[in-house]
Amino acid sequence: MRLPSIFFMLLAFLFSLSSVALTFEPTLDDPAQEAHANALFREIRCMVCTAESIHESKTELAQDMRTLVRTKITEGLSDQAIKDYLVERYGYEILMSPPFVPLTYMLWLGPVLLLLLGITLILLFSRNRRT
Amino acid sequence: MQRIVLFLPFSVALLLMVMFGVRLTAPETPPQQQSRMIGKSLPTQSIEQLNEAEPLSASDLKGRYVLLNVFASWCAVCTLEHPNLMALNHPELSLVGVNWKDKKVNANGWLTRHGNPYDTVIWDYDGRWVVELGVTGAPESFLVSPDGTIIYHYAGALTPQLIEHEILSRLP
Repeated sequence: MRLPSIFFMLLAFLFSLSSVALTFEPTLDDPAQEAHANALFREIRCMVCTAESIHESKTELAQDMRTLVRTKITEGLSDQAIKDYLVERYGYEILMSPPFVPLTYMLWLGPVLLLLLGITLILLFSRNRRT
Repeated sequence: MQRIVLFLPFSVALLLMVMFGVRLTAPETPPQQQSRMIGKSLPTQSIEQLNEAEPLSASDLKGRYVLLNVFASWCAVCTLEHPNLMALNHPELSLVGVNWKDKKVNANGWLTRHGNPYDTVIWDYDGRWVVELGVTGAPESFLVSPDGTIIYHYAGALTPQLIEHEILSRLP
């Protein structure tokens, strides 16, 4: 192999090592539980990088939350109980998907209502054209 | 009928503008009222201390007002807040540091460099107390009453004004 190729391969390898910049994070021994944990991570928002879930986020808080979720799973808590625990401390914003509660009715129903309004207007307009 | 239909989008837009205008210009809720942790108790699990052998539990902090301050050697803003904590001296107030996600040597090094205002320091390496307290970053502080209830929570650096108006004002 030529020297530049070796050099670039080495560089690429070194860059990939930056992904372990966070402190070592122990995963669960049971692969099924770890998979379950990972699925749940995707539903919880990172409060530091709020566009990311704690699954992707590399912040300290996300790591600590992942540790906490894993602990709660081994303690036997249900997904809902774990989410309730986090919502109690961080508010609904901690969930990637807003819940359907009185506070968020307009958020969920708004687009549907606007769609119905739009359809109604179209029908009214077309009816007027014919007369 | 056609006229009403024509005016509808404008009315909706106007309504939205009024709603947004009212909400955007409303006075901001003070931070401590936004916190969900007011009225809650400290975590029940015991936790390791930075420089003591025995673990600390929430009951150890009862009986006096405690200012829990989350800090870390990797937290840049903490160095700005720290002089204000060093200057804080109230006979009824105990300062307890919560060192978050730091190697002990780094935490102690930082305290040596910047001074140690804490009566004791909790070592929360994996964020057990931090997540239980609803913390989103460092620095973050909690004022805890003698019965162990959180009465004030601020995310950010404590300025002398905040200390005066929000912390000292709540002490006897």
